[in-house]
Amino acid sequence: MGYLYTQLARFSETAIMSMGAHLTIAVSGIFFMGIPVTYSLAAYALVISQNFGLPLIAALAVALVTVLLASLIFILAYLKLSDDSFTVFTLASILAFDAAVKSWDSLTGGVLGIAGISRPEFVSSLVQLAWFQFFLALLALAIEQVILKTRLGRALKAMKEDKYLVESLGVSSRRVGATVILISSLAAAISGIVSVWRIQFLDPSFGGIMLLVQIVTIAIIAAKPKVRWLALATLIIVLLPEALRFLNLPSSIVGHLRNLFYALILLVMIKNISEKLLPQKRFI
Amino acid sequence: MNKLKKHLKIAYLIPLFLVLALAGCSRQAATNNANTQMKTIKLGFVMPMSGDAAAYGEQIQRVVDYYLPIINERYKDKNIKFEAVYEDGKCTGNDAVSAMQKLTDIDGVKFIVGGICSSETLAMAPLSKDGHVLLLTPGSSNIAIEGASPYLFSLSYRDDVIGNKIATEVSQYKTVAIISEQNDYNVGMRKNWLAAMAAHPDTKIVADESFPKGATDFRSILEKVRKANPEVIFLNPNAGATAEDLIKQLAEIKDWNGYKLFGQFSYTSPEALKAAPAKSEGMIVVDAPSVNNPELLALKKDIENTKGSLADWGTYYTAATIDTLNITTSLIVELGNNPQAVRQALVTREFNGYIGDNINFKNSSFTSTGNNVSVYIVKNGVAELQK
Amino acid sequence: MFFWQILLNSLVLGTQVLLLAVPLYLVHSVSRIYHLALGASGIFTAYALYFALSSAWPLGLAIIFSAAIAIILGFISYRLLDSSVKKKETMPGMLISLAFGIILESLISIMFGTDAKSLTSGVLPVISWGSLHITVPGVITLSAGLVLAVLFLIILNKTPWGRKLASVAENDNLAASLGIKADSVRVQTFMIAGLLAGFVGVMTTLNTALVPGAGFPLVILAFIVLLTGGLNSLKGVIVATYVLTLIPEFIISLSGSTWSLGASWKMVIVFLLAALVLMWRPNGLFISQTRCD
Repeated sequence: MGYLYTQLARFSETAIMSMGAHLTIAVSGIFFMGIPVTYSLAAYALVISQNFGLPLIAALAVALVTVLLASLIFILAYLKLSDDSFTVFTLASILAFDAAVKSWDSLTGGVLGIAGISRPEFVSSLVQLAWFQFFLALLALAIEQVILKTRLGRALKAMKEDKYLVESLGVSSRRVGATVILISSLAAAISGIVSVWRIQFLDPSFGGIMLLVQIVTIAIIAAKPKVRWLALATLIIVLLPEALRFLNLPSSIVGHLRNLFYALILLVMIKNISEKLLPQKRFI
Repeated sequence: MNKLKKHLKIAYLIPLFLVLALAGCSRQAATNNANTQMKTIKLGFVMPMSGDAAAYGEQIQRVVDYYLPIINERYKDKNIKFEAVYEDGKCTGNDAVSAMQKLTDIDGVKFIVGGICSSETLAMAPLSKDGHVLLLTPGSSNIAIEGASPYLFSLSYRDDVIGNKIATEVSQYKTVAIISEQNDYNVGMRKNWLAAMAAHPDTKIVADESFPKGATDFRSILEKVRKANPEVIFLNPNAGATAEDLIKQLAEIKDWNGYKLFGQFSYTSPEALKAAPAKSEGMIVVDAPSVNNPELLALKKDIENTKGSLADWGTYYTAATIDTLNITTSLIVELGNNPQAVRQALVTREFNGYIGDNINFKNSSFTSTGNNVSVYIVKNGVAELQK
Repeated sequence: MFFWQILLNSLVLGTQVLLLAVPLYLVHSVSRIYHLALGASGIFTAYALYFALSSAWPLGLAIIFSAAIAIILGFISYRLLDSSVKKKETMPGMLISLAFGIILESLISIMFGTDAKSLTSGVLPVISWGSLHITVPGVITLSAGLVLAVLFLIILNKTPWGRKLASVAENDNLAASLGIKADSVRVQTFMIAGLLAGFVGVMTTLNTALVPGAGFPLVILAFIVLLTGGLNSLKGVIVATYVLTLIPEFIISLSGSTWSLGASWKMVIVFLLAALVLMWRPNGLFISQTRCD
């Protein structure tokens, strides 16, 4: 049963994080690639604060404030840079953060990481944590559902279609973009915090390019701005590598074969989705 | 369009049902074969089978695939058969944890050989504390493993022992430089060596350079070290391509000589030494205790002939892997598939193996034999044992 | 001498990145897709050469074989990205190319294993001028980089094919109305990009070692360089390449013993530099004028 609760927890963590990616990439067309940075940054800030003796609440506050500051930097970049430049800036931030974490080992533990991270008392067991994470995931999906129904949601959808038309209607695309980047960063931060409680170990591999690939794929597959598509896409992408574990593959190449199958399935899904299910564009 | 959506939705739900169905049918660790009454016990293996460290995982598999049938033959009369279940730890904590949970919850494994990278082992350690699974690693050497879990044991030597010895050896010189890879093993080695060097204040560390894991060009780093003009250079890369590249690129700087080279485990491999034979001549390598047991050497040779190279894994770790298998399986046969009982035996008894005659865990998570080292000097492309 | 040696080493490294940034630029020009599989394609080509040489094929045949593989990979990339190109879907296209790169890397790992291979044995031959030294593959890389940079600047600006490429890049529908087959131009571009990536793969692994994952770090750096230089300017790409490789190398190499920065900080420096450049010039160092539709 521990394995099933772990999958429930992983689904929940990914759903919380993917909510942000969905809003930015799929709904509004803002290619914000910095989600793994805020995910890892929150985890490191929390754990390091606790290692310095801060109680849980204070450590949580430090983590969220740290992520807020990081998201302000991303927002500044969004406001100053062109779309493509913003994409590469946020992509490069993942590599830079990874390099900084590995190099600043006196603070972060470097490549050896930080082991034996304790869970808060209210989620001390895996079962409690999994259900808590599931509750947070439902909350995140509910929040996205509400956002999509509000002015902000409509503005996001409109921005994907035509940013300039949105501006001409008096909606500040900059403010809308900044808001959604902030929401995305906070969602990733919460996901990072609950993830590190589950794994109880933190090292530079927490986050990174492969996590980005995973959540961007979820955002692309959940192409429509609908929460149920996001939930379904998350379920598929989280469980797909696990399903591959059960295939009786030759042991000497099993790791590579899994990567191969995963990439093949991703490729087929993305091509399938983009050809069949993207929202219709209006031509003006 | 609606039909298409429906079909796609059904198609996408297949992985979910697959996982739930397979997870629900939890395969028990010990199954009885109705015809022969043979009891199959699963041993889990968590090791890097993809990524930068995959060479280690591949070579460990060769050892296990060769030796496990020998063990099964040994216990045939007791109607016990051991089966290996491999999971990819990818040399990362996150994946190791997931792999461990799949092994324990789905395959019903109670004994796991692994992790191999220290980051894998350190991540799995907290999950073993409740005693539902026992971890034995033949390869993790980081000193943080000590006391990480009462159900975690390592047959590797300790990093600090190697670091101390290298520090003692280089303390004969006035200036030293170290070049390290940013890998869990090498970072641990560097830390231990730096800590040991504090006891030798007369020897100055004039350069302490690190490069990212898997880097392939070290020319600028080497120039920087050259500028510092050390008498000794301690090369601390990971085994395999990185170790070969580093010494090759050092050899390219033909007008830079007059320094002594020191190395660790990565430079016991003939391939690494052959990459730049003139440069590696006279290099001092400090590594695990030498394993000269003729039986083990013959086994290793046979494994290499039938399964493939063990160059990166090396003689000591091959011995440690075989000893891990021997000790674990013998205790399971004697005491049952019971981690608590086996743990009790591990901390109270002594065992004989290829890595030593008094393998015990009475006072440490590391084997008692892990406090020994060997010093080699490279002659004609081979690391020859000195002491 | 230390300064000049670092400069020489950095120029070789920078040229390796440039040799991958050029095909990335070419592909982006005609398709608006960031073709992140180019690194893996290059390494796959290098493995094809390794296979041919270790099977004792004659050198000429081995080179032709690996060139053919490179061109085929370019064609396969085009077919995979075709629909994304036509719909101008940047993100799905980038993901498809990333997935293709992972497939290539996995295939290499399965066929050849993950332990390092070498196209040469022993220490590389070195050319020395006084205290300066450079490997023979390093010389080839530098020369090839210089030649290709000049060649492509001429081709793109002065030749009919270059003008076709520019017109497809700017407006493929209008180009089609003037009789220029956009698909044909794209296929040719992808195949040329594949060939260039193959050349980079071989040159990089001649200088270091052949491992399945060697392509990815190079292509990410090339990607950053492409954006920093300016998506529409090959000149910008060339300048940005050397800015983003030379400056970090010098900062790391010249940092002293008291505040020494290790090579592990390189990516942080690259990021900060790219951020500074983009804050100053949000669309890249060099921007070409484009007509508004």
